[in-house]
Amino acid sequence: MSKAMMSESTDDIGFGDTLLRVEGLTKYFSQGSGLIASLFNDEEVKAVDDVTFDIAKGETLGLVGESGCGKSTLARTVLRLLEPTDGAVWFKDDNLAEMSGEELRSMREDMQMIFQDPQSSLDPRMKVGPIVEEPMKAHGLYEGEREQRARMLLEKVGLDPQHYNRYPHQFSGGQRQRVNLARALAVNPDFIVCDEPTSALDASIQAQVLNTMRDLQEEFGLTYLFISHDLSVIRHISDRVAVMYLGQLVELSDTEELFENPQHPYTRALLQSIPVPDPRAGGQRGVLEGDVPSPIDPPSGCRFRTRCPRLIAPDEYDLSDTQWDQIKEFMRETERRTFEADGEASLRGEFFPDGTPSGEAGSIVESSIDDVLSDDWDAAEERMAESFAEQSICAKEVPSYEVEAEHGASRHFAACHLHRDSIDGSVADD
Amino acid sequence: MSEPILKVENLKTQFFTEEGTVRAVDGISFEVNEGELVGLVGESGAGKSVATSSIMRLVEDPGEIVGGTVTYKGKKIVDFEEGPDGELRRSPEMLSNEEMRKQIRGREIAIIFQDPMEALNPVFKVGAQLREFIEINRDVSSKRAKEIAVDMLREVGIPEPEKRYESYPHQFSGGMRQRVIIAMALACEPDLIIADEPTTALDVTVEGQILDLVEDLQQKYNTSFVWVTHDLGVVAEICDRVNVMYLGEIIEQADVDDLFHATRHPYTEALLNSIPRPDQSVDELNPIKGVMPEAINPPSGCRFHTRCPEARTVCKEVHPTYQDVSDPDESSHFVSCVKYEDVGYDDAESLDTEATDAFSGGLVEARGDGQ
Amino acid sequence: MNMSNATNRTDADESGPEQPEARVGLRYTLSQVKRDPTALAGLAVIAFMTLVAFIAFVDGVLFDFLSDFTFFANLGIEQYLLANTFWVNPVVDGTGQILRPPVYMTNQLYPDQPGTWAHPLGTDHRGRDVLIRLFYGTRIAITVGIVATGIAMVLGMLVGAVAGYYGGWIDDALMRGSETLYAIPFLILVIAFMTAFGRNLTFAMIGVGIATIPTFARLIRSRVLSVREEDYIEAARAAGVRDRDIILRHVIPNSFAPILVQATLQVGVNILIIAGLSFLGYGAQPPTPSWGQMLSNSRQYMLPNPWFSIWPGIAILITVVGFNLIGDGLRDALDPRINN
Repeated sequence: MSKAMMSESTDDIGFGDTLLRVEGLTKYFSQGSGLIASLFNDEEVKAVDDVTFDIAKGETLGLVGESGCGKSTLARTVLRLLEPTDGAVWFKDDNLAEMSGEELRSMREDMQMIFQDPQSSLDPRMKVGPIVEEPMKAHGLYEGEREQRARMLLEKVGLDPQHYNRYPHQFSGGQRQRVNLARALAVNPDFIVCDEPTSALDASIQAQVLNTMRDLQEEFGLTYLFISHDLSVIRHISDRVAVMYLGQLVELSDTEELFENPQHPYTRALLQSIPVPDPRAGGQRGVLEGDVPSPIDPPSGCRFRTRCPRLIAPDEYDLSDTQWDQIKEFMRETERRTFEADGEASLRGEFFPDGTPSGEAGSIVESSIDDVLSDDWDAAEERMAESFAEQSICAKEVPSYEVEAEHGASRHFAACHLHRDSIDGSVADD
Repeated sequence: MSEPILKVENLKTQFFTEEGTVRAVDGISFEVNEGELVGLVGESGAGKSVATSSIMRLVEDPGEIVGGTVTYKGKKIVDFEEGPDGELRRSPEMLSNEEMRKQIRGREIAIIFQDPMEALNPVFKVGAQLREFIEINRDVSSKRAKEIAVDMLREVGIPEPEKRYESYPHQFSGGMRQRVIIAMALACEPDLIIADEPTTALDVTVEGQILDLVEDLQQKYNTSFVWVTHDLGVVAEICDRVNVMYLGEIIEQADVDDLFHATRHPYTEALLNSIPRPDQSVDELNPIKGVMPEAINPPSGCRFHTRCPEARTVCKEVHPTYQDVSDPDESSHFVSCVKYEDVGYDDAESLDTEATDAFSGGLVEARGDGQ
Repeated sequence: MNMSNATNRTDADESGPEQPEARVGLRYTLSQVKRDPTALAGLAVIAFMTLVAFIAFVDGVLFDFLSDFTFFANLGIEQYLLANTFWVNPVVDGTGQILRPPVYMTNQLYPDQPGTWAHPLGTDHRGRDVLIRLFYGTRIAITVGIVATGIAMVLGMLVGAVAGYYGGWIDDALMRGSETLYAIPFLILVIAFMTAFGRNLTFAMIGVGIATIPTFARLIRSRVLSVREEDYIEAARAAGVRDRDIILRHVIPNSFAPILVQATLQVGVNILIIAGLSFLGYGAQPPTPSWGQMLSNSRQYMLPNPWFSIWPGIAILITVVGFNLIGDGLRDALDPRINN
């Protein structure tokens, strides 16, 4: 293997320095398609909203979130496969968000992507050799030694170089994902976005591919943005982890710190939900209720507040924790219509066994109970949303705090108002 | 212990394709007791789904159940007898297709699929589909069926069931759709539910909700479950007993705790070592080498020997017996591995496979080349 | 650390001893077609027709070929074959005998002039041999069918692929633009075109080709819309491949299967259309022998001499059916849903 073919990147960014910086990146999709529809439909899906993070050279940033949270859109917007609505993406010294056309295309030499579906990400009509060579051709690199380099890369990713002349469907899923890796490495990039690269693979194959990715990272000095919904994989592969909910980052910290000392209620809920492959592990599950709200009209302030178990009580009412919990539960169950209003006694017994709170909050609750009993759910829902949910700091201000990290050296960002002053304590003490 | 409600013995299902006979399920045996949640776990291609559709007698052409017995509460769902010329034929006790449809499916055994969208017709309202299902299977009036349907929707945690009764499937989220499917499965109060990867397509938080729901409902109705999954996390969370499948065979069966903490089969062990953990940091994963071979031409002897880190020459020659290897004071623990047999494993030499690192330098030879 | 060794060791994996055969490419498609008897029948018909057209094209060859057989020579066929420019010179029989019936019939009008092996299918109203004219008509039919389809396919593919790949206003402009062609009835459109540019076969082909562009454009666009969503297109974009290369290397090849099927079927349709145009006098101009024109000529002799119109009709039928059979066979061979 010639030394020249594996030449290390020659840019001046050292390991640990920032390679990519995303600032306030925003991507809205308009719903209609076509000229006429776009005139009449101004509803926008706020897929990614004001996301900021950076990635250092040589590190792996894990991006985790549930389906529909916008993590794939974020990845594609970072790579400028989608046009950002707002914000900047600084890659080395260039703002990708402002580039276009040929300038942008030539930048792709340094950043590549690996896709989730190993089946559909390879052109079924091309042999794997030409597939791996295509990026080299596109950037006019390695003229004359492309086939040699393609074979070398196939071997690097753990395939037989003689598979050069095979079609993708002649490989298994794991092997196809290796072809994807080889293609991504073809132009010797610095940065690779991996969009759920192992979620279509079986457990044992997933481990093989993850190990290969780690080895390649070490060998080629790669920087990964690794997207997954699988927290176990994220924990294994990432140096730092960003958690995304409904288009925004809710927490970002060192991997160890995030898993051992999570500071956002959503992160905690996610961690508690994962089934642990150990019957003795115990633990809770299903701690989150309800569904993710629509990204067309996301909640104000903290977007997680509509489901958050730690929603902060509005300051103007003087409520004990228990009282607030009861009100919160009644408010949410009313909103979701999860109970039957079959009698005042049972309703009060279910939600307010010790009676309703006194004062203004109490009277709001009382009139809401009356509404529910007279089957006017909407009125009850609206009244409580206005008086309680919308009055909380969670609804009024967008949270953004930095907390002290217990593990690792990097900063710990947590978008939760529980950290608005350190005296109020961390989320961990519930 | 009472008689198991489902008993599968030596069930075999094969697919007759142009390339040859695929032995998708090759002689599996297991039992499900009343109120028990039995897991069927394995990688894709292990034959899990074929096994469940064989139990429901829903195997489609070119597949065919070719042997074994499946007994459900004394009724023979699958049963064969030897004909006069020594050939296997359906025994007279085996339920007819008509009887399967009328007596078993839906009423006695319900099935939940991975993709709820597939089980729901997108052009009909959810309520109407549920009502029709109940009407057919429970012989009740349309009005009564609607009441039951609404009750079931409420039971599985769908808010405003009367209103949602009128919604179309696409108006539900993935988790809500899966709840509808569960409602449908429960609607006829079956004694056994076969769940084929029911949470695989769902997000973790939603999966958690569904697992909670299933556990609650199981306690309430004392329904038995056969739970098919590839996710060992889910297995650990909800199963009572687990069957591990590899290439058409069950290679290990044990109580869930034993399976994870007193693992006997090298495959199960390797599988457990290959998955990253959410609850602890692991420096290096230990993947199982290679991929599962095709069921059309399975390896000789033990089917796992090509990938087994503990493979020895005897593994290639002797097909292991599926037997109980538990100590007297333990619950039963079936394993199919020659390590636990007296066939000379201890004296045999280590077998040269990729998995035993015999080819550390010979990448190309190890893999061969199809041309 | 010797990484190369490490990666290799970790992953000497995943390939079973046997690999499935390649399921793409021309060879595979042909092997699929070969299994399909109807497609094979279609292929045989078209191969025969193409052969005939080719021989007629090199008409000297036809003469040499046939006159080598004394069987034909004894029948006197060489007489008119000698005049190999016979269709320029309408009377080739030497006798000027017109409307001679096929060999298997007697002549009701002129009982003393029965069918003869010299004109196995009889002669037309100008005494020209019907069989030879059919042969020459094949050449025209196949040529115009394929050329007209080719024009429509190439232009339609470009329009549809660009429209589908880029979407947005480009899509709107191209597709709405090409669909304006639908606003005018097909035949009138072609006839108007020919009236403007010239009443001959060349413009008939171009006219029919242009008029069928929207068919192909819409077909490939709908296909491109789904191919565009495939990950490998996005992968190519992410890798920095130029749009032009993506369209040419990934989009079109992967959208091509239904186009090929449609094109094969369209050849048959176009043969019919151009026969119709010739029938109306807008296609091949006399004395060029085309099937449509032969049909047109036969109109006034239909009742006494039905064979006169039957033979070109049968020729058209066989050719169109042949192309349709191939089209169906290709559709089956290329349809991934059937393959998997």
